[in-house]
Formats: sequence, C-alpha cells, structure tokens
Amino acid sequence: MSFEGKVAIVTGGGSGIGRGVGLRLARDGASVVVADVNDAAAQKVAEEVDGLGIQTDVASEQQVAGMVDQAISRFGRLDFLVNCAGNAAFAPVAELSLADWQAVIDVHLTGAFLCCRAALDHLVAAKGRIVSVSSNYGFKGRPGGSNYSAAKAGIVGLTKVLAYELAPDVTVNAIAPGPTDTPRWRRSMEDGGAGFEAKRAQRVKDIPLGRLGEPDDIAGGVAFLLGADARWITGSVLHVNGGEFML
Amino acid sequence: MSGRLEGRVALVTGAGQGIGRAMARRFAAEGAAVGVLDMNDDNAEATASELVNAGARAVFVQADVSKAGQVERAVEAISAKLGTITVLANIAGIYGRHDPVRDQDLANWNRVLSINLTGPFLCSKAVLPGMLSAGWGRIINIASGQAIRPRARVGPYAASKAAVIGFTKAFALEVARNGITVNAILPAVTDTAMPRENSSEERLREQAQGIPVGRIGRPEDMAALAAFLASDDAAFITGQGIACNGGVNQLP
Repeated sequence: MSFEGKVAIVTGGGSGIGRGVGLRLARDGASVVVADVNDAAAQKVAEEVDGLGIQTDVASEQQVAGMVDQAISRFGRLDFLVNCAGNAAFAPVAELSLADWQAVIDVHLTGAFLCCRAALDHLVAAKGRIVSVSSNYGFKGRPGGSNYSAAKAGIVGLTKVLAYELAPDVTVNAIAPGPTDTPRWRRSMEDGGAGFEAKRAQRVKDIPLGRLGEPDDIAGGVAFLLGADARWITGSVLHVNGGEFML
Repeated sequence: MSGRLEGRVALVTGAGQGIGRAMARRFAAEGAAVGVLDMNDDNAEATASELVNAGARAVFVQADVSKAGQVERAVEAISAKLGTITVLANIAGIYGRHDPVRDQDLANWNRVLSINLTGPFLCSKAVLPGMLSAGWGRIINIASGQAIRPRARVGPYAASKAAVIGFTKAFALEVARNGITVNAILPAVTDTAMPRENSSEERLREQAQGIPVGRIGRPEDMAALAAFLASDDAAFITGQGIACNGGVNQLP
C-alpha cells in the first residue's frame, strides 16, 4: 500500500470530494486527519477511515493552528495536506453582498493559505506534498460565481508561488475538477427550481466522457499527485473533468 | 509494480531509447505486453529483448512513423503477435535544426512536422479500429513545455508540439463516448540522448539549477505520468495537456 506510514490532513474532508480523498488515502494505507467545519461530518468520515476528526473552520487562523497541532500530537508527522474545504454563495455581481463575496474567498482561498502556512514546516521536514482543489471555474467563468471563480483561480496562483517557495522539498499542485456529483453540486443545481435529474441530464450532454465526475475520480488524481510517480510534477494543475474543459 | 495494465497491449513509438524506452519498460512492469516501434532497428530490438528477459511479452518493429504504410504494417504485425493494441504512446520525435526561422529550410520544417505531428496522427488512425472494438483505449501523446513557452530557434519543433496538443483535444472529443481517452504529456528538459546531442554537460547542469525540484527530468518521470494516464485512476481525464517539468515551466 503506497501510503503506508504517511499522515494526511484533508480539509473539507467531511463530505463530497474531501471525503472521497480521505477514503482513497486511507485505502492506500495513510492515516487521515479529517478536518471539517461540520463536526458531525468530520467524525463520521473519521470513523469510516479509522482516522482523526477535527472540527475546523479553515478561515480561522487559530482553529487551523489547532488542527495542525492535534494532527502532529496524534501522529507525530505530516506528509500530505489536501485543501478541499469550500463553501458557496452564488449571485450575480450586481446582487452579491460584500459579506457573501468575502465568505467564499475566506474559506476557499484564505483557508488554503492558512492551512499551507501552518503545515509547511512539518511538510518540509517530511518532504511531503500539497494538493489544493481548484475548479474548471477557476479557468472559465460561472455566471453568479464571481467569488467562486476568483477563489478557485486564486488557489492556482497560491499553488504556483508555493511550488517555488517550497521546492525542492515539497511539491505543490492543484487539481481542477469539472462537474462532480457531490452534495454541494446537487444543492447548486437546485438554485433554478427545475428538477435535479433534468439538470443533470442537460449537464452530462456537455461532458465528452458522458457522465458526471465522481469524488473517486478526483481522489484518483489526488492520489497520483501525492505519490512517488509525481515526484517531478510541481506548480501544475491537473484537470479531471471528463473532457468538459480542455485548457 | 501494481499490475494496472495486466492483459493490455501497448504500442510505444520511439521506444528504442529515452522516454520511449522508459515507457515501454514501465508499461511492461505494469503487466502489459509491449510493441516496441523505432526508426532504429538495433535500439528497438535491444528494448524488446530487455523486456522479454525481464519476463514480459514484447516484440519490436522497425518503422518510420511518418509513413502510413509502415505504420499500418507495424500495427498489423504487433497485433498479430500480441493482441489488440489498446494503449498507444506516441513518443517518436525529433528536434530538427536549432536555427532561427530565417535560416530554416522547408525540408527540415516538413521533416519535423511529419514525425512529431503526422506520426501521432497516423499511429492513432492505425490503432483506432482495435480500440473501438475493444470499447477501451488510452492514447498518450508527447508534446513539450516548449509548445506553450518555447525558446528561440526551435520554430518547427515548437509548432509541431503545439499542434500535437490541438490534435489531442480534437481527437479526444471524437472518441470520448467510446471509452478512449487521449492526453498529452508536456515535459521539460529530460535526460535523454536528444537534449544531450544539443547541450553540453555544463549547460544541462545550469538548467538543473533553474528547476525548482533541483534536477532535470528523468525518462522514468514521464513514464510514471504515462502509467497514471493509462490506469483506471485517470479514466475521467481526457483532452488534457499535463505538465511534468520539475516546476520550471509554470504553464496555465
């Protein structure tokens, strides 16, 4: 098992892509710290992976420091940080409040920054890896998603800078999912009021590989980036989207 | 090795040396039977022998990927001995002359394009019927960081590699509903004969210093990425250009 003896923190690990990543890393032998703002979700997934669940709001400097401290205190090392934590507040710019703009930037982008900063000494010591979840919407616009697209594009910028700063000890990459079947995605499809299944069928028409992504697809890409085979890959973005967006 | 390609048949062009040879080795280590195709007969044979001695099924064919007839015959020969080809790695390629455009001639331009771009087109066409009938396929093209961020004096090379990326995307769309993915790998300078022909040891050391991970690439690094792309973990990845460059060439 390729990640035997390794310790991973997965933020946003309580659901969706984060949960998928945690399950995959545990299957590959890693000890997984499941960080999520939703404590019940964090504990549930932690139980699934026989790991450690820590309630964490990644936008809080203090809670992020506590998350890393608890992980080190329990496992003694940190090899992987996977930033999946995210929230959503969609509205066209004309109607988007400053509070909603800021909330999305704070969790996706500032949260990733805070987690990377808090973890980096341990990651350098372990010659570890960072993967952050961007999005195809970090590269193309999503109407109503100015805060989301800005945050997801911002994650790519953060990734590229960290790739330089932490070289050669730690590789830092981003993964950019396309439409992936998660609870958040289903909630965002409910915005317009029409039935979910109809919306999903419409969406799938635009995806060359003929289906939505699954958290497991994204987890497979993350597992590759964290593994020995990706040792010469840093500062890059891996797009996992069924061909829906080709950069 | 994890045996992720157990039961598959892979064709690797340019497998007589460098990145192609490393891919052939890696696919064999993952359980595939491997068809080794190269312009250089001796090199192709050496790779195939090495794989067979290591316990893999492998055959070699000498062929020029820019010639449709040779490509078709090569695919027929390999399929007859090993089975339907469902993994294709188009690695055969040349730099051509390092010269500014004003000193380049049409013959060199055409030669670079015919091998680097037309070769992948011809090889893809030749293996496609088998992949369609199998309902599964992986095509891995080799582009280059220089497709997007080139140096000077490599006009034909940069053009051919950028074109490979465009071809990769368009073709990926066509075969997406048939269980076939098509992607391109974008390396930076990798320790093989090609850069060594063009750069001194000292120049390569300089380049290594400029690379965040601290070394130039090894053919095994590209082979590792190719192994991922051929695996089930990458089943939802298609039409992408994926950089493998030690952080030197931060591409979009």
